Amino acid sequence: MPRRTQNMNSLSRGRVRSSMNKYNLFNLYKKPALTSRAKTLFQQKWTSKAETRAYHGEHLTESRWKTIFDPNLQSVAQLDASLKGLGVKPTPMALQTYAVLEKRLEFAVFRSMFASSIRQARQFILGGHVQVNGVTIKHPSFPLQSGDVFNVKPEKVLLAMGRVKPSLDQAIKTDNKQIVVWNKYVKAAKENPKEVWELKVSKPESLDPSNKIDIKASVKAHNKKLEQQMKFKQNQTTRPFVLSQILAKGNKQEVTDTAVFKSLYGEKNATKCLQAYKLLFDSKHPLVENFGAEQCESYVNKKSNEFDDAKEFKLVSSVKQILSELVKTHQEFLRVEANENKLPEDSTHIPYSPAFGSNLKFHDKLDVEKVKENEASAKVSLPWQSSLFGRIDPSKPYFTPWTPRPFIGCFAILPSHIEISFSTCHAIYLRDPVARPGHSEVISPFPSDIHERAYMFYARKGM
Amino acid sequence: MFSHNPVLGRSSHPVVRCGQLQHLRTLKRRLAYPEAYRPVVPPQTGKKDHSSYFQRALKGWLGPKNIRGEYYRNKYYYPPQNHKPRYIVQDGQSVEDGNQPTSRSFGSKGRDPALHPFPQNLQCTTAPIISEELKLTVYEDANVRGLKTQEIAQKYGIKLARVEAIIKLYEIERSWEENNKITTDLKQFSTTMYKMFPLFNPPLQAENLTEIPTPSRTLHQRFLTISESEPFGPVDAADIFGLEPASETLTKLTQIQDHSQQNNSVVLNKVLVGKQKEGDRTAFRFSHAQSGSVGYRYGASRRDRKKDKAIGFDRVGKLVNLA
Repeated sequence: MPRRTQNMNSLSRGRVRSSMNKYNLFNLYKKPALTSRAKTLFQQKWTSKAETRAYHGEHLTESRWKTIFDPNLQSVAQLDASLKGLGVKPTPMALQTYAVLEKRLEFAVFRSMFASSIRQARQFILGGHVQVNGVTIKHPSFPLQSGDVFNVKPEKVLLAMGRVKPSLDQAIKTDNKQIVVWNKYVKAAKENPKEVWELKVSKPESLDPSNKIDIKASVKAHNKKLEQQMKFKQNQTTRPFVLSQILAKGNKQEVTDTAVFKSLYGEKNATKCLQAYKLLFDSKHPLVENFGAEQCESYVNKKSNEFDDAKEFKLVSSVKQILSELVKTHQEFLRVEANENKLPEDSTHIPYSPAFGSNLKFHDKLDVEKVKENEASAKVSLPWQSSLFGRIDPSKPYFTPWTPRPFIGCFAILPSHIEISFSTCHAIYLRDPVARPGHSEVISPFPSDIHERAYMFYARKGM
Repeated sequence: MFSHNPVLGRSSHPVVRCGQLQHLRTLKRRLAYPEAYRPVVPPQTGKKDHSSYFQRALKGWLGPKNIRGEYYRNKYYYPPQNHKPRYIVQDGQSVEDGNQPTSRSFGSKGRDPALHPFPQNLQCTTAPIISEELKLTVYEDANVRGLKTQEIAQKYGIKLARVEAIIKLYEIERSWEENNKITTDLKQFSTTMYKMFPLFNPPLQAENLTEIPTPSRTLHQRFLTISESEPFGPVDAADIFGLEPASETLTKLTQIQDHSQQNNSVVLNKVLVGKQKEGDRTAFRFSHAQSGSVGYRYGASRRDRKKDKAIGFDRVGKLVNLA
């Protein structure tokens, strides 16, 4: 039975606990350095033990801790210290005061970051989710020995170290809010695409490393898209296609001169277009009236022996030659144009494209009643989220897809005395934590002098 | 720096002085929040806001929250993913909004927030994580190239116990991969955790392999009277403490030993199995034992109901009394 407690993370009491709680982080942040000023020796010892005990095994009653406490502290000597000839730092022996607790299974589970607090580690052990050397151990106080392999059920670890899974109501509420904001954004982008684009570009970078926009990849994608568009256009420009375009253009206008064909393949090729049109128009070819894609194709692909007379054959071959030239120059033009629009690989931003606004799509709001009845009916497809918020897999007890819990980085401390395999949620207890010159393997937020006074409180005889 | 404490409604300069403690009992205690790195505490919003001073301070410290419930401008909210930890710094600048000066910093001198998790304890550091590539090479050194674990420990500067642990865990990881037990969520978890810690850099961060448990005799002072001219060195000191010289211990440590035989030291008792006759429900087993070393002596006092009773665990993980 752990010690009963109320309001562990009280902000006004401000104790630092062995927990990954957000309130605890703020308490750690605002923790003032403990001073011995204006305190009697006993007051110093008392405050020191109160502060350190709040972190080291606060769930143990004082009488239980006193039976566990061992005044003989463990440290190591480095045999090559004198050989190195450097000033050897003092060994923080006092930091070993609570080292005896670290061999307990609950502490090892917490230190290996398989649980977010010692109390949670206890719950995992008592629930039968922790094994030591393949045997389920249900005693949080189980003393580990060097070489012991312990493991926690991965689902429990993901629950402990992941974000809290939102309830269905919360998820729907969040998604509807997101959809409202998204629709506003899309509306604004459709009205003023340029402004919205600039606002988007000038936005400060996200602090979330998983959300970082990879400029290199997006530049690559942009270039690839251009290449694809170019290939498509090049494949489209064939002789029959060019011919039908010219005839369509020429037939629209009453007066035919080079100005008419300018918009087709540029100023330079306008004369060639006119030439081809004139050749067909002057010979009163039926194709001028009827210039469908099929007719043009059959006309261009007609073989030399299929023509009725030499005159027609001559006409066709001269038209074909003009068309071939046009196709060649236009394909080259497309290639050059695409290459000019391509971004250099070291560019830092994607240029604005006018299609930005029109590419965005509005999202329908979720029907709350319907989704509550059947969760699978919720269709969410926002650019950053493809299902209900945090509930891709509602059967899991944690936020899916798995997302690290808030402020995890401040509490993630890799222990020296445990070797951890995160991908299997296994760990090996190497040895009891020791103190060596300038370093203590016991993880504690308090400095050596505070531990020294706490030690003095429990050892009674002094150091 | 002078600041006004909105809770007590008066100056929050130290009021605790020697001799005033008696008087202080009747006063409210000063709130623990050093002024130096106190952020701007937002005021109460409206009449119905009953949030306390610290709740508002926490709100200010956390910064704005987005629709998804993330404190997206807080420096510490998202885990670092570049093998460079970002531990808490007491500088009043938890929220990044681009306006704050970043030159001021508080807390212990010489602290590296990428190494020391706690602002006040510089003797506590995070251990570096062994990279996946190094784990693979260690495993291959042991299983393919046939190196002894002690040789591997010397090669990379990793302690023997850790080398053995790496090999064991690598085998577990491989078997899990083969059985498809590593889900996408678990993979995501492990990569996130992996990228949070500094990487182990073998030649620079090599562990000290010459560490031995400090001999308990050396923890106490010894006094010896010798003449001024008499030479006295580490070997003489070892002699007085009754220890072997450090050079001998060092050579013993560096010698390659075979550890594989050590685990097979299970003592098997002689067991007699009684004959089970028809109708008997039990088969008796008599194991050989020394009188006095097993069982309890009638009438002798035992501590099995005391607070410091000796306990142990049997093979199925059940707690048993040893006394």
